[in-house]
Amino acid sequence: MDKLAKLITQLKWPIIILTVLLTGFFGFELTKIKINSNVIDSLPANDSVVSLFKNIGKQFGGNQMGMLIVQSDNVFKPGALKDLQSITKTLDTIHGISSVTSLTNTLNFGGVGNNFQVAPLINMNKLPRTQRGIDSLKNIVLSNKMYRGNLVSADGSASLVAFKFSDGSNDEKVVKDIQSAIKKLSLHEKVYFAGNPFVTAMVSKIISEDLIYLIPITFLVISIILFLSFHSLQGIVLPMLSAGLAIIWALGCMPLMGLNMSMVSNNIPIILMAIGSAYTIHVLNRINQCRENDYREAIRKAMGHIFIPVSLAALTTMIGFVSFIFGAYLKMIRDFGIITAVGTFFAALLSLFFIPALLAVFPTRVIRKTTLTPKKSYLNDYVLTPLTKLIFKHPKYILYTWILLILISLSGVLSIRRSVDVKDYFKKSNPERIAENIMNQKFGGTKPVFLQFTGNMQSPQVLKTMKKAENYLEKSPSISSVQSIADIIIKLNGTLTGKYKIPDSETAIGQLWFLLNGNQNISQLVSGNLDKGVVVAKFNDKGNHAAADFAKYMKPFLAQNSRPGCKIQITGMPFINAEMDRSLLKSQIASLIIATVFVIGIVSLILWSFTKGLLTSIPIVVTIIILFGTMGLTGIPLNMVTVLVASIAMGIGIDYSIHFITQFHDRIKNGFSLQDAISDTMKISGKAILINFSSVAGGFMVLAFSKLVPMQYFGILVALSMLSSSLGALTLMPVILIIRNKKRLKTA
Amino acid sequence: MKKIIISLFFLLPLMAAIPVHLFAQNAGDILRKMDEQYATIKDKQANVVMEMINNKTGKVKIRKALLKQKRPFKTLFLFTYPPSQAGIGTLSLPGGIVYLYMPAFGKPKKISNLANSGSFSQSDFSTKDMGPRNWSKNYTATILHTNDSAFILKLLPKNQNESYSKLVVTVNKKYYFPQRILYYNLQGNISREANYQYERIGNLWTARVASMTDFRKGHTTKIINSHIKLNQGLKDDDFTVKQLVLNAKKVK
Repeated sequence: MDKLAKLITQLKWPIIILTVLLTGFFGFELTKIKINSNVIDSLPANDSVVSLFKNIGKQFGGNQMGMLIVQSDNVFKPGALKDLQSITKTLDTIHGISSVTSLTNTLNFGGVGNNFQVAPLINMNKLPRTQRGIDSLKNIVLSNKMYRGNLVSADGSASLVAFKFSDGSNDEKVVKDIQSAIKKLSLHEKVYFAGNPFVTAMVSKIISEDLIYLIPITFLVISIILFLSFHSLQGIVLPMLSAGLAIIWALGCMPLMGLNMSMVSNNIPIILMAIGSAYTIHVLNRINQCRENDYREAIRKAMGHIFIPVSLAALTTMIGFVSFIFGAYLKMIRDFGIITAVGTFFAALLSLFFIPALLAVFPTRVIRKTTLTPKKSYLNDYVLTPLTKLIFKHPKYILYTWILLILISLSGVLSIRRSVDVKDYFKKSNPERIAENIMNQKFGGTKPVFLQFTGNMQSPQVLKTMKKAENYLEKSPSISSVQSIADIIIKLNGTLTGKYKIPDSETAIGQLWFLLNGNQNISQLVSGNLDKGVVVAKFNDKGNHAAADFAKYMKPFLAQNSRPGCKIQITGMPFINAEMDRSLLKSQIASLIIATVFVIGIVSLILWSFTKGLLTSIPIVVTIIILFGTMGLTGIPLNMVTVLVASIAMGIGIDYSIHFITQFHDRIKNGFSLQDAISDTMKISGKAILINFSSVAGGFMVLAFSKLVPMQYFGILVALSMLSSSLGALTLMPVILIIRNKKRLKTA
Repeated sequence: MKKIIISLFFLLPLMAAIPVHLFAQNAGDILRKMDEQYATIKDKQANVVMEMINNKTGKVKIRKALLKQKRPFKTLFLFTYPPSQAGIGTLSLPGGIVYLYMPAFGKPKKISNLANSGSFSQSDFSTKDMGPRNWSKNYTATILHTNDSAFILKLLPKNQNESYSKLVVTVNKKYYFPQRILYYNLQGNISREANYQYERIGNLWTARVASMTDFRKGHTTKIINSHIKLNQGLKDDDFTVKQLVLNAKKVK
């Protein structure tokens, strides 16, 4: 280790130059970073339900539908209809939108005898002027199930302009164009945007805003905490510098690895800032403790002591992050695990090589101007000394308090709810969430269920089965509206022949297709080659088990009706959400097991004792119980972001126990009595733990100001975990040590 | 000779003083000549191949039909391909009246397309694109520029309810037929583009290939005419509902 420490000071300039060059390189790469907050892109491609869902989205455009909701007391009023028309016309001209459908451009077909009439559903040149006329129009439109609940709400208070994004279009740009074009219109009624592209764009916008506003705030908060702790400029600048570089390097790796920022990874900078600064604090602290006349010698000496503890602390933290790579259902969570692990590695690397090299180049400035140890230690005087006294005076009370906390928490663990619904990511006042609520209340939700039929779409048998499926779906309480090409064929046939059914001959159906060819809206229901068709239904979310119950309901139908020449497959967002829901639990358990096993293993290796390893892990295990208990009792759900907290807490929080136990054993080895060893450990490690906890928790608490609800929970929960694990290390751990060594204490 | 030289001496500066555009064609004249060119064809018969091209995937759907047309307003279109649609026929008559005959459904149906924005036989051409343009009546023109072979005109529709803001039309300088039409949407962006390739049959020029690209849909329709016969003296009796059924049955 001495050789390595010597090498760092000898190679100071190459290290600094290499760091600068790498920062330039990663900084350049960082400019290429992209944000993709689309959950669908993050779903595993090898899952059959997901791949079918993605294929249907690609082929029939179902995933990239946008909706503009016009809300009014009566959408059939001339003013509201004119709003609908101007929105429809405006959207129709926007590049990147391939089709627009609303009440004002929908063609209705019908006829009497030998006349077949194709006419606009609403004649915009002759809008009703009297209440009677308005009511009559409302009745005509609402009596048709193709429009009711699809284009207009059953109570006539909201209407949709539905539009499809062109294949390969830049959805984010199209969303911006739409919003700015609609803003320019002078509309009478209130409008809301809904649909996956808008949700994705909103999340991306929030991610960008969070990155812009929250990172500087985190920087500031951690800097203030460091200044209050060290009272030195160096104590702020160097930890922030190494953390900042680690962030640039880690984020610069993302474009290189083909990874995008997501709604999970936007907290990476804040995590790395909190973690990265901590390693440098330890290095600086140790160098400061080893101060001698020859500053380079002090660095060498300090590095000999600190290299392994910092490396191991980084390793345990990395394991916490790496645990997400295994068992995570969503790609965005795996990507998060990879980048934070890489970032932690960079942070440790910079703290162990770059910072000492920098200090070796500028020794005098550092030595003369900084004093890392404050003259008067408020932490020691007002926190640690009273706490140490309390530990020795009332060890049992402390233990009982922790047991009580554990019991309360255990009662909450079982009531943790899970949430995979993206709408829960927004605050209640967010327009996307309001739009989503309107869609749920008035249009039967936004979650589509698809029944894909593979077979000849001109075959009477296939179309009849499709109609049968529609009828079966309509009987389910989870389904609010159903649409398919079979309905349209029946309507056309009825208009031409008076018989409202699927024609019995393939020739007749083939000729009906002549009337439908080229119709943009038909392409959402049937493939261009007429070899695939979809029944699209809207799923009404009614509790956690609704998707599973619905899957059970559909199973016998699929078994009886799917056959060669008419293959039926089912997919849709409810099934994917159900899978994501299951996977949250699975990935939480998997990542926790991996993190626990590795962390205990490494700690046991460091301490060369499995018992000590287990003992060290007690505070962090308790922390995890308290974390889940808090989530259960406060109603904070387990979601795509909060699922990360436990493993992160374990990775970072274990460091406090490691610091405590290593210092304690060092003191015992040096002949200290148990009381003195604990008191001394409380003074030395306790202070570092409290400073570390303050900066990490302070950094994460900034996330409470995020506009994304799960990110707020994430920040609060990590901060809570840090509080629990640091308090666990400073109270529970010494109490356990006291109880375990009671005899020795009595002798002393 | 002396008189000629003296006359030239006075006339040349005088001619130079006269504005150049008075020698050039007036944009309105060009539109009138375009209408005259269109009017040279009284009737037309052809075999038609319609290629419906998805520009993103490159997939092409083919339809074939027989066309009989008595200009300006009567058109008989009989589909021969694909087999599932062979025998389907449409008869378009003045006043936007269209009869559709589908063999599987017996009697022809009169289709009233009150939407007036319907595409022509589910192609990227609209029914308006396929009918007479009445250039001089419907548009106000200005010459943007000219080149060796064409005038490039900017046409503003006189009807304010059109779905486009302007057309930029490339007109053949010699024969006054449109070679290319760019449609600009109300935001001023190009939304559609039509291109025409002409063939001379006798003394008449007619479009052999017409294509229309809809940029928003990413779709193109190409209509290729072959076996074109012009001015054969088709009668009004050839464009009746009875003839629609008879001809469609023959195709079937």
